[in-house]
Amino acid sequence: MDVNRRNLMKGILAGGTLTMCGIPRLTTAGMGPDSDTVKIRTCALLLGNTPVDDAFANGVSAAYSVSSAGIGNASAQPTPLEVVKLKSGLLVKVRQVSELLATSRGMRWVAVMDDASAAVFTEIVRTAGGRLLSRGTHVSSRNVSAYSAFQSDSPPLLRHLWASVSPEQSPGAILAPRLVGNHKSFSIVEDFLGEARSNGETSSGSHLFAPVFRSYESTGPLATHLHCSGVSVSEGCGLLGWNRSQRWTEFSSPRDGDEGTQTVQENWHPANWVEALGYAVTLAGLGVGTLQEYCARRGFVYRARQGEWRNMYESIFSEERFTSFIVEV
Amino acid sequence: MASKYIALPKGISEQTFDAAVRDFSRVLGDESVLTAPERLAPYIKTMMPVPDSEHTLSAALMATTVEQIQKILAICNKYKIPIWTISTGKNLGYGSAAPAERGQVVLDLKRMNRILEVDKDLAYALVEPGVTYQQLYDYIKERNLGLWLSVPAPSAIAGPTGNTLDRGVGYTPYGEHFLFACGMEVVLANGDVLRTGMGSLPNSNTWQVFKWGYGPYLDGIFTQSNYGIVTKFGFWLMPAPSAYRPFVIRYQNEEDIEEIVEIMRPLRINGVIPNAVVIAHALYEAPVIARRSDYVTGPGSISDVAVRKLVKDHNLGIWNVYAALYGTEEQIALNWKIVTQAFGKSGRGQILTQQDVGDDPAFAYRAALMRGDMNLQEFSLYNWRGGGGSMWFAPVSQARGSETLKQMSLTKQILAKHGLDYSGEFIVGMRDMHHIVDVLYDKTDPAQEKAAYQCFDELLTVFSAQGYGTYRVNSAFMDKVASTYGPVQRQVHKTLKKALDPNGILAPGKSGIR
Ligand SMILES: Cc1cc2nc3c(=O)[nH]c(=O)nc-3n(C[C@H](O)[C@H](O)[C@H](O)COP(=O)(O)OP(=O)(O)OC[C@H]3O[C@@H](n4cnc5c(N)ncnc54)[C@H](O)[C@@H]3O)c2cc1C
Repeated sequence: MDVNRRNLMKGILAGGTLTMCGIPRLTTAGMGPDSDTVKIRTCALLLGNTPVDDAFANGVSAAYSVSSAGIGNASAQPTPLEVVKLKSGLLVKVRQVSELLATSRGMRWVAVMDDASAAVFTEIVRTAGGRLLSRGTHVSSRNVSAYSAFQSDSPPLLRHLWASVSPEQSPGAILAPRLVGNHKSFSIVEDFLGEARSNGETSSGSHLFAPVFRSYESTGPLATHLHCSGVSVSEGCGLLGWNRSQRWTEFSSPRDGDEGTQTVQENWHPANWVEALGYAVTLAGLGVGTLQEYCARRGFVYRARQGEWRNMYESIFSEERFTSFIVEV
Repeated sequence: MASKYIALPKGISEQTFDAAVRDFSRVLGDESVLTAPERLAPYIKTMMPVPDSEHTLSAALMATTVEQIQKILAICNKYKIPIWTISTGKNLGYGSAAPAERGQVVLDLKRMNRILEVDKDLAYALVEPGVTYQQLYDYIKERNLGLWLSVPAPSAIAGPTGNTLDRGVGYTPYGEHFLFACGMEVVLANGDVLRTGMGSLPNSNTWQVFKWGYGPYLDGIFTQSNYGIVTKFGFWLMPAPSAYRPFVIRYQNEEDIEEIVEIMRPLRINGVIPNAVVIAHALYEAPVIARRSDYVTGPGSISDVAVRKLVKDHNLGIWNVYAALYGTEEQIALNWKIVTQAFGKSGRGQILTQQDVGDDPAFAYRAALMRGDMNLQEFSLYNWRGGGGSMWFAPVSQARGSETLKQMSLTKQILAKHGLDYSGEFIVGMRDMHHIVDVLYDKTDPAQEKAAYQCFDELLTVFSAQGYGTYRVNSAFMDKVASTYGPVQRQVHKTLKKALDPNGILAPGKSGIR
């Protein structure tokens, strides 16, 4: 079996402080009778042999260290992050991955793999009786068509689609402000199975995370939040394929002087969007820094400013398509 | 305050559902009644171009015995709760493990996974629904029983019961799986347990060897249906041949499919080539070895020029015919002569064996499937477009060259109109062909998702208008396909449903039957 286990890092690699709105915790409180039976002890990273493995892992380690620092328990030695890399991919190593999950009860996994492996991995998790907290589909296209780059209704070249259990476990709001710095357009859609449980609070604080976004909520039957930057709410709906005639109420707008800045304080800056993604997925997996909005669906649409259109046209994303997971077994 | 369930069955209040869940828990124990969103999430990814919320389950139940299933059905009847049964639940591209309608409770039989019997001499197996092909494969290997399975491409992770009940196919001489099914045990909606064929006779030892029993043959009505829950499943296994020779014939023009089929048909009907042959288009093969982005820039479907380049770069055929010979060395030598003569005549096809292709990954996975080995390489299809969208379009065609060319051209044209690629293959039966096309699209691109929906809808409309029926379809389009088979068949299905399941608790919507 060429599944390699190694410790990616021991302890904290990078310092930093993080504004935490979630509770750092490694156990879940589910909603049904089957929710509390597994106590999560450790977190691990599964790399599925994709071209983005290294960048994703960089983001994971940064997040892991930030969250360890943020927990504030200086005396506690952070549990080393265990990393498993599937040298020849999951399609070949399906039995080993099944065994790995079966022998790692009580573990929360952050995983990244190609879409083919992801289809099989979801099945393995279900068969193992695992819990799927979040699954993200990520696509970056190369900007080769000047036509499509400038069409107002053509989708951004960088797109993320998440199905998550709740906003508490969904990385979108952590990722969005970190992508803004790239000055490239992107979209994020998150669908939540269960709404975040309200403790009587209303959703709030989105500008804390995403200062350049205007935030709207829909008054339609499905509680939906949409955070837009550089596009109107109607354009945002169009780009996400949502009904444009939905009625929206703005509940948060950017503050003066905030444009392009982040209020989340940390020393770590991602080198590219995949690192930012690994970071966001891991923090969400650890329950740190997520934005607990009370909605069933959430979208972020960021269009780079006019001056940056050219930039967007010229700068080329490499073509990447893959899936990320947060699961527990 | 939000509901404590992620979905509820249609017309059922939370209070009623609470009561049902309590009753389910009494039968199965809390641990086997799943309602937490993170436990239900792995059942939800459908890959269809409709919101997953339309196929979100309310709960999943893990039964392990027939008695438990009888009790579950009694509860469902009491509260009118609809239940969607899966065996191993790997129906990817047809709706996966998700129910046909929002709020249905999934009855997951994965823990009913005992191999009840494998008879070496009579070459059959009797299994529970949760048994996977991998499990059975290991069982046979460990005991050195000298039997082969016939498996669909998801082999290791899927299972014979669910696959055959949905009338799936494999690639050995036993590839038309329902032809080789023999005897089922079925729990009916009223809790009665029916054993089909010879199984109804007390003390019969012919349940897995004689299919027909006495009176109307019933097994068929439990396939692609919602008339019962299959709890035991018998089927025939192939004795391992002493020799096996897989081969591929590569053709370089799309029009060549006419020649391929005309040569292949008599060889199949005469039994010279005994297995379910695959005629795979280059774009069905390509994902195992190539990346789409290396050949396509911008929106729209891949061009013919790009496909030609891809074929050249990777030494593929536009059509790649995978077949095999089985038997003794002498039989194979004789049949090989017939095959090479037949396909060699026109000089258009290049016939290659294992020795010729070396470690070609496309050949390796096909060779594995044609001998019933475990291999998941075909999942590479999902890396072609990326973005997680996939639906199988599966019309049936006559095994006649002109028909296959017509179907291929029509499919390709409709896909191209919507900016999608033709990732298709034909699986050759004796007289029919399953034309299987993976409609792959990017779910992160809303315009493409919409196009995929419209494309699939158009494919079904145009094909049925030309008299081409679909043999199997995903749960978003089951009603549409059912309607293409006309009102009389639909009414008969409905009449049977009413008689066998008056409260409509079993998988409403399956094959358009309610
Ligand atoms: C890359 C790829 C390649 C594929 N290749 C093939 C192929 O070669 N051949 C092929 O046939 N399919 C193929 N498929 C489709 C599918 O994955 C297989 O058919 C698979 O075997 C079905 O899943 P399963 O065996 O787990 O059955 P299940 O998902 O358990 O069952 C299928 C359906 O049967 C019904 N059912 C299941 N169990 C019961 C029961 N006990 N009682 C009553 N009804 C029941 C349900 O309606 C259920 O939805 C492919 C899919 C992919 C992604």
